[in-house]
Amino acid sequence: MSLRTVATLTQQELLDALRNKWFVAYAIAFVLLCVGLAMMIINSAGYTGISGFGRTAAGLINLVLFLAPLMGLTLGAQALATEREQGTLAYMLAQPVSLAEVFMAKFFGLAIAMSAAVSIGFSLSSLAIIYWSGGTGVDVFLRLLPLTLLLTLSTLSIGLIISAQASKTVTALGLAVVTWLLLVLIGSLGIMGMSIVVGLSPTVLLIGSVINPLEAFRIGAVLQIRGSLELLGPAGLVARDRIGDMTTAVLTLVMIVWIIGGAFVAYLLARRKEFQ
Amino acid sequence: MTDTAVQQLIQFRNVTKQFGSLRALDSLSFDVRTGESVALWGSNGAGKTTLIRCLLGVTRFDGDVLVEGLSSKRRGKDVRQRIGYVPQLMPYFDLPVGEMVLLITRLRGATPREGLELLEQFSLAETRRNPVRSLSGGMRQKLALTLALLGNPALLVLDEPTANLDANTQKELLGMLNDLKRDGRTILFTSHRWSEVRALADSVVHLEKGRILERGSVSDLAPERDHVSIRFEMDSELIGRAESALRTAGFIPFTTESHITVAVQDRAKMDVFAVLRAEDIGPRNFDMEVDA
Repeated sequence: MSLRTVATLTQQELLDALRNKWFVAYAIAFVLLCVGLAMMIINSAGYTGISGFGRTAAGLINLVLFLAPLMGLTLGAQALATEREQGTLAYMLAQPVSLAEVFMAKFFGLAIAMSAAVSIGFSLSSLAIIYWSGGTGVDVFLRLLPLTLLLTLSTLSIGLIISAQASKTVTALGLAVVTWLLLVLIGSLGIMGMSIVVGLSPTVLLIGSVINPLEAFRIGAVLQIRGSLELLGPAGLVARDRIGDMTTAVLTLVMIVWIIGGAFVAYLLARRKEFQ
Repeated sequence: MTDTAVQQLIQFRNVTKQFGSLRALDSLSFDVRTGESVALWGSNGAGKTTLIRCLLGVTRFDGDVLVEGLSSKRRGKDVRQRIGYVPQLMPYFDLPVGEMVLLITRLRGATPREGLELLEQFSLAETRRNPVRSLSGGMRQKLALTLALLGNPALLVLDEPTANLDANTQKELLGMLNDLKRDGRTILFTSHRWSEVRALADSVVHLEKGRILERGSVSDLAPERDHVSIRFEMDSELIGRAESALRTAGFIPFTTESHITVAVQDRAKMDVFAVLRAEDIGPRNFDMEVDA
């Protein structure tokens, strides 16, 4: 494994990301929606004070839960599948590079590009808040940034798992959207529904919830901004009850495991498919 | 690296590749010497591209392929450093030509100057800002050849390099490849067309269904493969007799009002004249075109 090769390929992936209309669309949407939310915070602080701020903070969590996983899953899912379909992956692998180097560069390139988009969105929003309202509420954005980055990268790894197996872009994108829907539904309605119908024990409810990176983010984010406890949901309440002060650390660990473990599984699957 | 390894630039050793129940390559063994131009010739599905993938170390297989003594299975990256690869069709990359050249330059450890010189040499310098996908098929193949030569690799591997090109571009690309061959570059290429093999190869490995049917020099195999079309001009009343006589002798003539054309293997061309002479048919004129 040559770090120089990985760096060269990563640099190329970053340039490719800027040419990718999907990425550009997600980045613009994310930045605009973040700034829009910031404006809402500014306006609501004038009229309704801290209670309005709490509502907007919840809005930010929902925005991240909606857009960041969609971005991570769809861009990750396209990464290898599109190149495989176009023949560009086979061409690159005929060069003096290894699949591990190509794969790492894809992961790092997309991770850096998406992290930059998220960070720019949060930074511009924070600047807007500081400029127009003297900084009230800016801490929400700053506190949520690390968790948002972790969520984005977790879903990128899951997207890469899809991409490692799919031969066509359209298949990969379809699977990514289905996965996104499943993660969103399992995260809220699914677990709650199952706990009522099947009578899940609190421990099973907790594990079933937090292995979903979206739910891990949601619980972690609510705890971070110390929003209303109702926002925690059943799994969050169980987590706070069972794990206590370590909850955020455990949830962070869950997302890190998704990032590293998911990327590793994706690499193994890609290796099996490419070298068959 | 041993002397043998240098002399035998590539050594295929019992290369076997299985896709499920299909044996795509069946224990293939042969060598390619330094400076030699070798054609892997065979019909579609013969195993040519699969063998190239084994050589590049981008697929699992049994046996081994050694390039300058290095195993493509264990030292794939080092082997690929020694190979300039031209695919059947250069893929549709979104990035501009200049960026593509720079990327491959870095990966192959070449200098940007070398990349620019090659772009100039292959008349691609003006396309530097154009996306690769916007180039014509011929231009993309020239770009693929440019990229393959970056870092001055010992071996050039081409997979059906002119299969998707028009006749003029085929001729141009084959001319470039012949120049490289004259410079002493080792070339291994696949083709299903004898004309291409004839134009570029020193020796031929004839593959069918994953096995080597025959191996030899182009001049050894040419009499079996080269075809000539002989077109006779004769009086219209002789055409019918000539057609009948040639058919009886096993040829398949094509007739018009004043001409009769027969395509035959090069070595059998005199037989056609013999048949006509035996029937006392004298053509007014004839011309001959070598299909190869």
